[in-house]
Amino acid sequence: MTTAISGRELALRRLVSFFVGMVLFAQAATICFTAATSGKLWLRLYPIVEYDMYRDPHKEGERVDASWNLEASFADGRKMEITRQMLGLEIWDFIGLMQGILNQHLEKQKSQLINLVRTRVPDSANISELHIKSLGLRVSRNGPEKIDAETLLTIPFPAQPLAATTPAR
Amino acid sequence: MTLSERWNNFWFADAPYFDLAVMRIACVAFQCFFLLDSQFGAVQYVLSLPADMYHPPVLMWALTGGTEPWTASVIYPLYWITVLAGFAALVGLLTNASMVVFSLCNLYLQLFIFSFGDYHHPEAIMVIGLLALALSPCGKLFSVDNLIARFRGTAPVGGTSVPLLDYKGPYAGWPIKFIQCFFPLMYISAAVAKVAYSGYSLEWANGYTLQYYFIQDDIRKVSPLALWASQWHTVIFLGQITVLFYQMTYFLVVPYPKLRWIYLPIGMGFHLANYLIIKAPFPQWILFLLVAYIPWSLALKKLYETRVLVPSPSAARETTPVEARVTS
Repeated sequence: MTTAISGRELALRRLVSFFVGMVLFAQAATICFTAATSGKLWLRLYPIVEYDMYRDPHKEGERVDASWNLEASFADGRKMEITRQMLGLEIWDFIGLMQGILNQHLEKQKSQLINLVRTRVPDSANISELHIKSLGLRVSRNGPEKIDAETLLTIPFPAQPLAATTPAR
Repeated sequence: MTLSERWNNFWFADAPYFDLAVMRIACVAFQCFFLLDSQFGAVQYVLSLPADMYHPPVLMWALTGGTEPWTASVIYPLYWITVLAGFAALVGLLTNASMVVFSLCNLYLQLFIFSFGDYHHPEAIMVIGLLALALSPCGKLFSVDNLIARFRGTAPVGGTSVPLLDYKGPYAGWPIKFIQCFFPLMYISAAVAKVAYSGYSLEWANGYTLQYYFIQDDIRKVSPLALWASQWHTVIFLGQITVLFYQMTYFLVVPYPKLRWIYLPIGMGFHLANYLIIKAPFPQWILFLLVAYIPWSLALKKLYETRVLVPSPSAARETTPVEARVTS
C-alpha cells in the first residue's frame, strides 16, 4: 500500500483495525481460557462466547440427565407432577434452574423455583415438599436403556412466600 | 515490508463490492426474518419472567449501568425500531446509519434476552457480522442510496465505467475476511472445549458421548430421528472423530483458500445433520459459511464466461435423421 490516503480514510482504517483486532483477540483469548481452565466464561462476555456445545464426555452405562421430573407432596398425602409448562418455563430455563439447584446447590435458584411454584401451580398453598427426580434412562451401545428413577433432592416448601419474590413485569 | 503494511495489505486489499452487497442483503434479510419469526416471542417470554431471574452479562451491565432490567414500555419500541432499521438496511436506505442502528439494537435485544438465563450460540456471529457490516461500504451496490446518488448526479462522474462484478474498493473485502478468520476461532473453541473438558484427552470421541446427546435431545426436543440414530454406536464413533478433526483443522482454510471446497460442503452437511437429527439449528452459521467463503462475483463471472461446445447448423443437419428427412 504505497498510495497516500486521506485523513478520513486513515481514521476509518484505524477504526476497522481496532474492531477487527479487538474481536479476534477476544475470541482467541476465550480459547486460551477454555484450554487452560476448562472453566465457564462465555455468558458474561456475550457476544464473545466459548463454543462449548456438547463438550462433556459421557460413558457407557451413564444415566441420561436430559431433564428432571418435579413432584409436589401435599400436606394431606397427595402427590402431583409439576410440568415445566405449569411453571411457564422453556425447556432450557427449566433445565438451567434444576441444574443450578442440583449441581451447585444455589439457594437463589431454590427460591426462584419455590416462587414459581407458589405463583403458577394451582393449590400451591397446601404443598409441603418438592421432589426433584431423575429420568429412568441410561446410555448403552445399542441406544437408551431403562433404569429406575431416583429422588435426587427434596426441598421443604415454606408456608409463607419468600422475600426474594419479584412479580413479573 | 513492515507489520503495518502487511496488516493493511491483508485487510484493505481491493475486493468486489458485489460480494459485500450479497453479504449485507443475505444477513439483514435473515435477521429481519429471525426478528419477526422468533425474537418477538422471545422478548415476550423473558418479559413474563420474574425480575429476580435477571442476570445481565458484562456488556449489558455496562450499557444499562444497573441491575434492573428495562421494562416492556422500552423494550417493545426498541424492538420495532430494530425491525424498521433492518428493512432500511435491507433496501440500502441511509445504509450505514441504518446498519449501525440495526446492529446495535440487535446486540441490545440479544443481550436482554440472554440476561434471563437462557442463552444460545448461533446468534453471536450474526451480531458481530452485522457490526462489521455497519463499518463497511456495504450500501455501495444494490441500494436506494446508490439510486438516489445517481438521480441527484452525485455519483462519481468522469471515471471509467467497469462491469458490475469488477467494481472493487479497498474497504469491500475486510468484513468477509473478518468472518473467514472468525469461523476457525469458533471451531477451534468447540474442539478445545471438547478436549479440555475430557481432561485434555480424546475421550470425548468415544461414540457413547454423542449417543448420550442424541438420547438427551430426543427427550428435550422430541426428536425421534435422534433416538433412532442413537443405536448406531460405530457410525457415531466415526462421526465424532470426523467432527474433532474438522474443527481442529478448519483454520487451514485461511492460508489455503482452495481447501474451502472440501471443508465447506462438510461443514454444511454437519450443520444440516445437526438440525435434522438433534434439532440444533445453526442457520446463521450456514448463512455466513455461504456468504463469506464463496466468492460470488468470481463465481458469477466464471459462469457467465463459461463456453459450451455447440455443433454447427450444417453438422447438426447431417447428424439428425429427422431433420435430414425433412430437408430431403
